[in-house]
Amino acid sequence: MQRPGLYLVTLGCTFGVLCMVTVALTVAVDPYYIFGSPRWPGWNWLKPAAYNRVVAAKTYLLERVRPRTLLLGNSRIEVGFDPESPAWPAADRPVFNAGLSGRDLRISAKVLEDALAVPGLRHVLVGVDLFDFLKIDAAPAPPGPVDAGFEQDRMRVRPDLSPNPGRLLARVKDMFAATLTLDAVTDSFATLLAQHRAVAVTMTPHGFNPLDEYRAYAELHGIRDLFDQNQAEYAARFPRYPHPDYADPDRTPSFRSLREIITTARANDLDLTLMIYPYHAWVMDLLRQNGLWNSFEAWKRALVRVVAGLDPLQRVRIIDFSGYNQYTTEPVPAPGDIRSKVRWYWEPGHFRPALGERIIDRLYGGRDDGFGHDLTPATIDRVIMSIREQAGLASAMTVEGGAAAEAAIRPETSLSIRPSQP
Amino acid sequence: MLFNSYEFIFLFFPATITAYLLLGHGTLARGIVLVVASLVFYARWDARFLILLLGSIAMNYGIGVTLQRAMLAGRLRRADLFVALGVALNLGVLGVFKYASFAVENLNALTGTDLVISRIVLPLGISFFTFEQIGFLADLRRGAPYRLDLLRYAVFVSFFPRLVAGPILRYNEIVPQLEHDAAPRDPRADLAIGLSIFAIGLVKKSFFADGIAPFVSPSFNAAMSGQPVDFFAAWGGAIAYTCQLYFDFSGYSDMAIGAARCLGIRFPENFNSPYKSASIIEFWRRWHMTLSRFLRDYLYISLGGNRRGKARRYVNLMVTMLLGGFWHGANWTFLVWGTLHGCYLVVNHAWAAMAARSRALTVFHASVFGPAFGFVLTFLAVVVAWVFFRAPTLGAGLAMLGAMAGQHGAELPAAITWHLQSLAPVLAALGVRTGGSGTQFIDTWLWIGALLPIAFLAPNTQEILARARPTLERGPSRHGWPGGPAWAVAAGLAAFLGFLSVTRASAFLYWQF
Repeated sequence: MQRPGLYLVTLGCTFGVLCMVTVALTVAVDPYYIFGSPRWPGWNWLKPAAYNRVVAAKTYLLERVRPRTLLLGNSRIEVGFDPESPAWPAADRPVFNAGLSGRDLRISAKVLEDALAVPGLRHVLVGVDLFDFLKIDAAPAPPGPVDAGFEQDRMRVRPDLSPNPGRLLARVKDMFAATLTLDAVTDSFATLLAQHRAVAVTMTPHGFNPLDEYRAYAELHGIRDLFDQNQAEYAARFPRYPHPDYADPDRTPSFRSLREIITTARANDLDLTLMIYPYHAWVMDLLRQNGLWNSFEAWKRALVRVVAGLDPLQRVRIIDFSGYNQYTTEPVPAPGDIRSKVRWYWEPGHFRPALGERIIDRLYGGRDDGFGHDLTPATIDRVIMSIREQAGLASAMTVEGGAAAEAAIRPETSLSIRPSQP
Repeated sequence: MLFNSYEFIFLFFPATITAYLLLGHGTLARGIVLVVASLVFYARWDARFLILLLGSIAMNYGIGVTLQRAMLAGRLRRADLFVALGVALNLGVLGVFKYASFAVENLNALTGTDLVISRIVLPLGISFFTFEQIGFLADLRRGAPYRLDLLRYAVFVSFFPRLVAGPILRYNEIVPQLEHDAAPRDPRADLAIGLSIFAIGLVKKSFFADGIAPFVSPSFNAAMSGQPVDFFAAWGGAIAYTCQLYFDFSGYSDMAIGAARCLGIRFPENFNSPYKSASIIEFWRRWHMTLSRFLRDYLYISLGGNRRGKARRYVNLMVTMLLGGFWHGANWTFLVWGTLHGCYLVVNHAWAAMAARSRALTVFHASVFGPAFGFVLTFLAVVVAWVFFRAPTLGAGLAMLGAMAGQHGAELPAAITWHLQSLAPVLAALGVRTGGSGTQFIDTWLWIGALLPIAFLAPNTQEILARARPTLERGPSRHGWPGGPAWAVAAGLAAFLGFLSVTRASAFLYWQF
């Protein structure tokens, strides 16, 4: 070899220059919102890759937004509430949507703890979902913090709420992972390409998923197709759920996480609202058809019990948007009808931001038109009876939803409502 | 510590090279630096097993010294006893750590007993350093004039670039290179060549092998859980694993060879484009060459090799491959894999003997069709055998083979059949259904389509760097890498691509053996 020194220098320089160019590109595009780089239309306005590192993205965004109102929950929150909607009262803005698709309250509890380290937080809206509470432990859980089952290294606090000394290193790792990795490079190019597509998935800087790809799909194939696809999936899944009576709520990880949330909120004097989602009537029908109605009611009673136990002064509000009302019974277009629109729902399990705005109105003192019932020890029986009555009245109107899922329903399940547990 | 980890690339390796270049003047200093670095490297995995490693080194060195004295004194029976003792002790330790659970499990199944054995952690690299030390004792018994001292021996066994997964070395391949009077070389040239080899290995492992890895598990997992796997998914999984294993292990070998070369030490070649082979005999001359060499020199030849007639030769081949398979792991799947390759080799040798006597077969072999036929047949045979190598259980392996034979029909995703509408009648006649994940199907076959041509057609690392004499076997060459600036840029690009791919260091497949 003639000039090994020159060879080594050239090799090193090539490596170094490529690293620098890569860092410059990935920071400028900032596909995961890690760096807070400026967003430019046509360059990095849309952020499809943010969902590849969604927990990291929302952690960093939350710090930048410094929200006064925090939204916690799963995908129903994530796609159902636009934090930049004019429906939010000016005094309660900025709002941040920390809903995380496919995650349950374990992670919501940790996000809340982390959010407390950001000054200014006053209000917390938590979406509580029956389906998260259908995971029951086989044995009582050991004492101590709930394992959130996700990467907590970047959070400000450790599971025991003490300051996290590993946070700085975790953030350096995040920055490294967002720059000098193959994923970061491919996601940066995917971000650049997405700007020029007709439709792209994105996350707004306030954590909201506008679900533009659903909008585009619905325009092409009709919203009915989305309803049918998702309903079939739910219909296949529902028969596998257990039928808990919630006699011991602490056997449910989500109840334990809910306790953490309530305790944290009360200890920090936050306004906490728990919201039961407005499932579309097709989903409510599936609950009945799969014998889950008793568990649904028992779950609500357990919610009221747990909250009353932790918050005797009733400062924590539970509001129930489920049932058969003017929104949840919105008609679905007939099969083959690709023109008719649905105003309030993307599909039976996920409501649109338009319905999110109705919920915001109701939460902030809007007119009580039968949508949203406050649940307390005093009202729980009345609300449950009221929804039972609605269910009886509404079954004819929503039988189509049941028919769509008929193939996947266990033959022994009954459409009639079994007597509720006392 | 993994070669493809930031800890190795940015901390351990630069520190070791720096210490070696600054302190490594003279045999003693070089040896000390290398042993210390190697022990740190091993301890990063599990410091408890340092005792095992050091104990193994001390035991074998002691037996080796005594054995050599007996040989020099002409006391051959005593020497035989020491060889037997050394082999028994080495295999005993290996047996306890690697095969005890398997033995108890099968004993329970056979006799209906309920013996329980606590879970034993397999020490990293034990299969490799056990074989090397057995080879060392056998070489001494065969009269190898090794110059023994403990430090040299410790470097031979523990040298970190090949400590945990080979290449499997002989004592005289590494120790003479440590001597202070070894042929002087320019350390910058070694570093340049070593880094270039390492960079290629890193790309093969982190970009190619880890890139195709996600498309292996779905079909094998489905077969394991009893789900039906269709024809294309089964072949996709099996061929993807064929690619993954080659790029993973040959990438590891390149990184080991490159890391050693950065320290001025040449290793033997371990891979020579095995999937280009036109026969199974050729495959075993190209795949994991140092293991093949070990099995040939210390097992096959010890069993009598081809000196005791054709029938005995075939038996020796079968036994060698069976034990070679079992060396990979305590599982019936590895025994089946070894048996399959034993059968392949027997058939291949029998065919070669027949072809030598047949004029028609000689003509066929000399034509373009002979090698082409051999190439396709060899590759298919290797893929089928890899199914058992990868499958967690015999049942899963058989299920995969059934699926590859079309037991559960064939399925193409709608995105493909939509483009093949003109062939719809043909597909229907063949029983090809529409269904399955389009993304999974397309990505699997795209990866296979990208990697197989590289394995089949591209020059390998040793060929690319032939002019730099990358391995012990490679003599001076006028071909390949001239080491100019353009090559430095290419090596920098390879290093960059490999580095980018090290997002999450994944273990090398052969580390489990």
